[in-house]
Amino acid sequence: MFEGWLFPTPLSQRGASLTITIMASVAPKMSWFKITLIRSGIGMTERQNGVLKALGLRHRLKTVYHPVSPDTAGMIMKVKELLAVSEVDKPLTQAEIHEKRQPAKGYYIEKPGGVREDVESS
Amino acid sequence: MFGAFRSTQARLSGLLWKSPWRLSSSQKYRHRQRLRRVDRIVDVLDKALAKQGMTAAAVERWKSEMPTEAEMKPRDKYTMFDPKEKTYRKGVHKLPKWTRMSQRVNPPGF
Repeated sequence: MFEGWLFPTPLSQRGASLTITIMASVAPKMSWFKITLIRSGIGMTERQNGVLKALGLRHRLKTVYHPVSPDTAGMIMKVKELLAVSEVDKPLTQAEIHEKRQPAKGYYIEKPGGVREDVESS
Repeated sequence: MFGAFRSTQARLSGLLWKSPWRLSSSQKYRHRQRLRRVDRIVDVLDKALAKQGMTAAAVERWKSEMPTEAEMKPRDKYTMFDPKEKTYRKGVHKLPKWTRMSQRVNPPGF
């Protein structure tokens, strides 16, 4: 007999039991598609250009990250001839992508004790 | 006869674009690389989805219908069906935007 109406579970406990069920089902580790536009969409069909726009690929060599899902896979399949795709564990933000693309400074600052700043920080 | 004012087909008849009837060996090489890149992408999608216990209809359909670069015969790789040709075949590079689209299968018997 269902007694939830008479003795409702406190919200905090409900939340806790929900968390436990999710963890018990052991969801696979989430991963992302790293998608780069390497061929331009100019002159391709309206539909393909729409897919590029939906993926956020506005120009060549633009890289975006999308979670692995059948939806994303279907979108990639529509424009697969124009892309480079790989699977990664963690998406990078646009700022991180920008940082990675910067050339090396060409110098490093020595600290007292002969420690290189860049080596120490990394 | 020679030099800038020589009588060529292009000079005698306005707009004239010529394209060779067959692919060069380096065009064929780059074409194979492109085919393999598409194969790799389908493979990446398939493996990533399988890890999550998912499938995508578009990926499954491609896998069941399309041959990979290694499975394709040279005939299908570098030429395609054309009903207007005497041999029913033309170079795949005659297909508009051929470097950016997939053309892998041809009608059976041709």
